Amino acid sequence: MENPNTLNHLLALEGLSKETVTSILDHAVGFKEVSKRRIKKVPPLRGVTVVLFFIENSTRTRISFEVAAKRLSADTLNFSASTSSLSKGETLLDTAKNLMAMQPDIIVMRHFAPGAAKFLSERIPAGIVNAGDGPHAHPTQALLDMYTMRERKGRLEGLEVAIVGDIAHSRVARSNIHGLLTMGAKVRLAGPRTMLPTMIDRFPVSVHDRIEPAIEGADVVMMLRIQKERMGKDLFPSDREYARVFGLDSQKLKLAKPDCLVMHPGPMNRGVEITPEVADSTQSVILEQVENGVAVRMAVLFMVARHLGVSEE
Amino acid sequence: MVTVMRTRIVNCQIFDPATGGDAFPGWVEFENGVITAVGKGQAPAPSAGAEITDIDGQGFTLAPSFVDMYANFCEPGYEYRETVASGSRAAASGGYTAVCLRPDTDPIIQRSDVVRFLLERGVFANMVDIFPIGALSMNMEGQTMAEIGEMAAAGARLVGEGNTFVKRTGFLRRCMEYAGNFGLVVMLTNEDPSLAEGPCHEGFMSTSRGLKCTPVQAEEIAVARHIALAELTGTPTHLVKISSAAGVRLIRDARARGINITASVSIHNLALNEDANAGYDAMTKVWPPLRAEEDRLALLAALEDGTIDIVVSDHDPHVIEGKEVEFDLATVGASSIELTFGVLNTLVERGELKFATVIRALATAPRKIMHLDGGVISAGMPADLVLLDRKAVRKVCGAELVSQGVNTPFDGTDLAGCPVMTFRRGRMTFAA
Repeated sequence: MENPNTLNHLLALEGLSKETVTSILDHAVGFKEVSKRRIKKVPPLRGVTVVLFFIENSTRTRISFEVAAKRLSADTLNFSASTSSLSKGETLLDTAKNLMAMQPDIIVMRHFAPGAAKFLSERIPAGIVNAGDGPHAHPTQALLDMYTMRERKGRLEGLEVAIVGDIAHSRVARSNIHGLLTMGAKVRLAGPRTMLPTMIDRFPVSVHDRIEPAIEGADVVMMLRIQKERMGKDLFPSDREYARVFGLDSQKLKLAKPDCLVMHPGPMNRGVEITPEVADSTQSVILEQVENGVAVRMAVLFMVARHLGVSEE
Repeated sequence: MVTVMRTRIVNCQIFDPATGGDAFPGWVEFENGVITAVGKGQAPAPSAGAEITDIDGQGFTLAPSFVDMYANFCEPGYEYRETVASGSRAAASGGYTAVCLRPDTDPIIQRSDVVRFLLERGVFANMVDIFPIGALSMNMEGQTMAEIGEMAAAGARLVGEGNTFVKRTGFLRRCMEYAGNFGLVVMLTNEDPSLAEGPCHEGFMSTSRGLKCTPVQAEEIAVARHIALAELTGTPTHLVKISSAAGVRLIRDARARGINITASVSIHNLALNEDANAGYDAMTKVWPPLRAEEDRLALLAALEDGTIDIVVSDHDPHVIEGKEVEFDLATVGASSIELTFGVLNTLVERGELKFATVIRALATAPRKIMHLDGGVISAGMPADLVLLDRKAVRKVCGAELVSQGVNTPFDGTDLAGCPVMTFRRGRMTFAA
C-alpha cells in the first residue's frame, strides 16, 4: 500500500497516485515559505547526506536540488561526469557503489540513458531521485510545473494544458503527460511530425500538427526547448522557420484564454520557440517555475528521507 | 562369433516427423551411429550374440535431434564469452547435434583457414557438427568479395554477413550470384540501417519509456530487397531472424510466387514482445527488436503455416559486465541455445504452437535447407536423436547455464519441457 506521505524513490510520475502527487504539492506549499525567511533553513534533513550525481550536464536542476537540500539542512555532495571516474571507464554501478561507501542517504541523479535511475534503484540501498534520465522522465520538473499551475489557477482538474515542441526527445513532456493526466488535467500536444513520437496518441491526449489548434482556449501553454543541434539535420530546417511555424508569439498567444499561463522548463532559446515579448510578458510564469522548483524538490527530498526514516519531523 | 554393440531406447514415445502423425509408443535401436531398427510397443528380447544396452525412455518423447542455423560461439577472438567447446556442450544440452556459426569472429570467417580451424575445433569438442557461415565480403565491409569458393572447398555450406547489412545492393547481388556457383545458401539479416535508430521496437512502449527504437519498416525494406535479389540471382536465400508481420507478409507472397527463399525466426521474437523491454532490463536487449504482440502472433502463425521454416536460437553469450549497465550501453544478445526447446515447448503448453511444428522448425526444416541427412527416425538414418521431457517444469537460472554466457531474458521464468538426452551418431553427448 502506497503511503502518500512518503516516497521510497522518485523515478517517474507514471504509476504515482493522485494522492501522492497531491501530497508532494501540499508539502511544497509549506516549504516554499522557508525560502522567503531571512534564515532560509529548516532542520528536518539534519545529518542526511544527499549526493548530486550528475552524469549529464545540468546547471539549473543541480543548483535547484542543492539549494533545496541545503535549506533542509542536509549535507550535499556534488559528483559530475566531467570530474568523475566515469570518464575513466568505470561503470555506473561501480561508481555508485563507491559513492555508497560514503553512506549517503539520497542520490539525486541525472543521466543520459533512459532507465538509469531505475537501474540504480534496483541495485543500491539509497533513495533515488531521478533528475532526468535521457528522454524518459524528469519528475521534479513536471511536479514544479504542476505546482505552478495549481498555485496560479487554484486547481489542476480540468485545466487545458498545451505542450508544444520536441515531444519525442522530451523527458519534460513525458513526465508532464503522466502527471497532468493523473491529476485530471487535459493535455494537448503539438509539434512538427518529426518531433512527435510513434503512437503518442495512445495516451489520452490530443495531438496536433500545428500550434494554433493546440493553444486555442488553453489555460496553460508550455513551450519546450528546441535543441539547436538538431536543426538543419532531419527534424527541422532552420530556427527561423521553426519560430514562424511552431514558436509562440503574442499573436498566437491571443488564441489561448486571456489569463493563459506561459511556461518553459528552460533554458530558453529566445526568438526560436518563444519570442522575448511573450517570455517577459505578465502571462509568463517562467521565473516562478524556477522558484517553485526549490520548494517542490524540498518536498521530494523530505518525503524520500521520511521513507528512509532519517528525517526529523 | 562377433559380439555386436547396440543401443536401444525403449519404452518411449517416438515422434517421427516423416509419419506426420502423433507420437507412438515404441523403441529405437542403433549401432555404429546408424539407426538399425524402429519398432512399436514393447521392445523384443535381444537375440543371442547381441550385446544390447537398453535406455529406459519411460515418460519421454524421442525426436530427431536439433540443428541450429544461427548461433555465436565467439571463437576465435572472443573466447572469454564462449568457445566452440563450451558452446557445443551448451548446444548438446539443448538437444542439438549441429550448429551454424556466425562469421563475425576475430578474425572473421572470411578465408578457408578460419573455416578449417572451426571445423577442427568442432571435431575436437566432439559434441555437435559445426557449420561455419562464411562472410560475403572481406572484413564484412561490403567492398571486396571474400574467398567464397575457397571457403566452400574447405567445407562451408553457408555464407552471410552475420548481423551486418550489406549496404550496396549491386555488390550483394554479385556475392549472391557467386555463392550460387558453389551451391551455397546465402543467409541475410534484415534491417535497413538508415531507418534503425535503436535496439527497441518503435511503438508505444518505446515512446512511453523514451527508448531508442527502429520501425518495422526497416525490416520490411530489407526483406523486400533480399526477396528481389533472390529472384534475380536464383541463389537459395535464407532470411535470418524475421521479426515483423510486415516481413512475414512479403515472404508469404514471395514463396507463393515460387522464389527460392527460406526464413527463420529467433526464439526471442516468438516468445517475447516489446513489453519485455519496459523495465529497462539489459538482459532483454536482443536484435532484431522485440516487436508488438501482433508481430509475435504473426510470427507464430507463419511458423505454423510454413512461411517461416525454422527457429534459430540466436545464441549470443556475453559476459555479465556487458549487461550490468544502463540499457543504452548494454551489449546486444542472449545466451539461449540450451533453452530453445523449453521456450518453444512452453508455447506449445500455452496452446500457441503445435509440438509437430516445433520439431519441424528445429529438426526437419533446417536439415532440408542445409541438405543434411536425418530428421526422420527410420532404419538407415543417422542416430541423431534427442529424448525430450515435455512436462518437466524448470526455472531458468542464467548463472547456471552450461554456456559461458549468463545473459538470458528468461532468467527466473519457468519453462515447460527440456531435453534429457542427446545422441549424435549414436553417441550420447548429453544426459540430464
